Amino acid sequence: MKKRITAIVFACVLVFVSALPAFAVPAPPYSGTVADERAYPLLVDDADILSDYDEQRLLTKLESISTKWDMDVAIVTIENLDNRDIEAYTDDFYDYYGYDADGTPQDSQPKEMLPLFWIPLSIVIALVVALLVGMHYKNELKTVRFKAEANSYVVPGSMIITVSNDQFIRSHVTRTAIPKSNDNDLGSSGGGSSTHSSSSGSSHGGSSGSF
Amino acid sequence: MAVLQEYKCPACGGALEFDSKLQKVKCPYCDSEYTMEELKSIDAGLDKESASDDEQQTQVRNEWTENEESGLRSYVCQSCGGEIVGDATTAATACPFCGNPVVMMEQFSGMLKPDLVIPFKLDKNDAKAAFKKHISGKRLLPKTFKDENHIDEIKGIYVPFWLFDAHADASVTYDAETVRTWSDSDYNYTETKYYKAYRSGYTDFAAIPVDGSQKMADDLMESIEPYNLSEAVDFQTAYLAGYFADKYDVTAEQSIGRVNERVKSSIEELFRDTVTGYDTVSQGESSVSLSHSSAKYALYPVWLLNTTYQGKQYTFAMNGQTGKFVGDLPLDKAAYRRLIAIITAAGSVGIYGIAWLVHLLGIL
Repeated sequence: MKKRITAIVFACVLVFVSALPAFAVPAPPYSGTVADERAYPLLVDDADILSDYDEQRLLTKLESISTKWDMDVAIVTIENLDNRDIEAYTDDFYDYYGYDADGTPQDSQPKEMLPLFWIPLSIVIALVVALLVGMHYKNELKTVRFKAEANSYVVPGSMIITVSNDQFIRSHVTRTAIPKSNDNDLGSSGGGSSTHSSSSGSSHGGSSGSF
Repeated sequence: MAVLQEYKCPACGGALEFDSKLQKVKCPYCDSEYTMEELKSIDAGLDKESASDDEQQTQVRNEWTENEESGLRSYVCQSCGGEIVGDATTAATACPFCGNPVVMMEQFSGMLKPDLVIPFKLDKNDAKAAFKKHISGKRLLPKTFKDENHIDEIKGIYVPFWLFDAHADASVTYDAETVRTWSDSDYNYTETKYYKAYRSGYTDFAAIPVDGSQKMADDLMESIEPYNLSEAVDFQTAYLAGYFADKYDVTAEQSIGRVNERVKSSIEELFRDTVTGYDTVSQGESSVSLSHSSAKYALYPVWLLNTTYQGKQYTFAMNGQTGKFVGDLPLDKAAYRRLIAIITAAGSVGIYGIAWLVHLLGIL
């Protein structure tokens, strides 16, 4: 029952700055085996453009997002792409450093509050029910009524219909548009990202940028 | 003039009464029983001035104009000599002094003689039991009504009814609709087809009763319908012994309007049932004409109960033949408000809770 979304969503931000080379994380190999265990944290600031405080905050966010989507959403800043294009670099970084790009979304999203209109709505529904019940018990007290009809005095079998004529007058068609559901574009709506296959053969998606 | 009939027991001279369980006249003193057949001779004089055609019914009212001013009549009890006061319509009562049942013969002579009577089948105890049942299990009836309750008055009355036979011709038009829905990938479609259904025909109605007594509330009398006419017998004054009875003071002609109303709605309903195959049917134009209306004069048995609660009188009626019991009861307003408040409060919390539950399960 576990629905797997293969690397539809992950974010990788690659940032280039022309700063001093100080490799703490080496560029991923061009090929090899896909690692099982993640080798580095979700935030790798090799380009050193973030303050420690920002790093800490970003890391907390990344961890919570990654937990929520059951995949690794990572931010990596590096200074050069090691002669690869950014997509290939990212794919290799994910694959060979053991980042989990396969998300298994949790069954339900975290719950929001029940909309507030339910409070007055509950009261109104309950009041209507109460009035109906009240009417029922009130009706028990009322037994004297005029009889509108004389059905019990019809001579059995005496009803004869001499003319019975059903005539079609007109017809009328109304149509209402069926509202379109859009639940099949979970990943592609996120800022024009798309999926592709990486050198290890797994599928990836996401976006990148540089400045 | 004012002839009072008492039914004296040939064995002991006591006043006889009709026994609804035995369907015979019985002497409460010596337990002698007499069949209705045996007492038929008493009514021998009634038919003398009777004319068989119904036309004379219209003249009936004229006979009483002389009495309308006072509205009261007095009789002398043949048993104790006490004065029995009745109104212009009193036809059977009991002497207020000695309690002997008396029947005012003149109220049934000539064309005033009823064609039919349905004898009482249920007695006073049945009426009391039915009343107890009537006031039990009613949640919004004031508790004090039940606790303080005592029946002020309970009496068996033969109520005058006009029974109408009618042949009704009717033409009714109904507006009918069928609704069909379907969808394609872009739209939901609803197609409504409109039809006019015309029905013409006729139906016979037999013995529709209309209350012929002004004293009796018409809605109360219609509420205890129907009576089973197959148990009706030819009228005999002896059936009235021990009960109260009124003669009619609403004529057949005055009553026929009510018959027309009921026949009209009945026939519209019956014809409507033949308009089938549609999703909705509503009634359009309708014309109903009644013909061959004839009216019979009948006495129907009714138990009337009166009770007083907080200064207001409540009247109950029981069909003396079938036992159908009706009568509006007072409403406990405080209990009503409490009921509404409790259900609203508990219901709100419950519904809100269910809404949360459903929300958490992710259905909404």
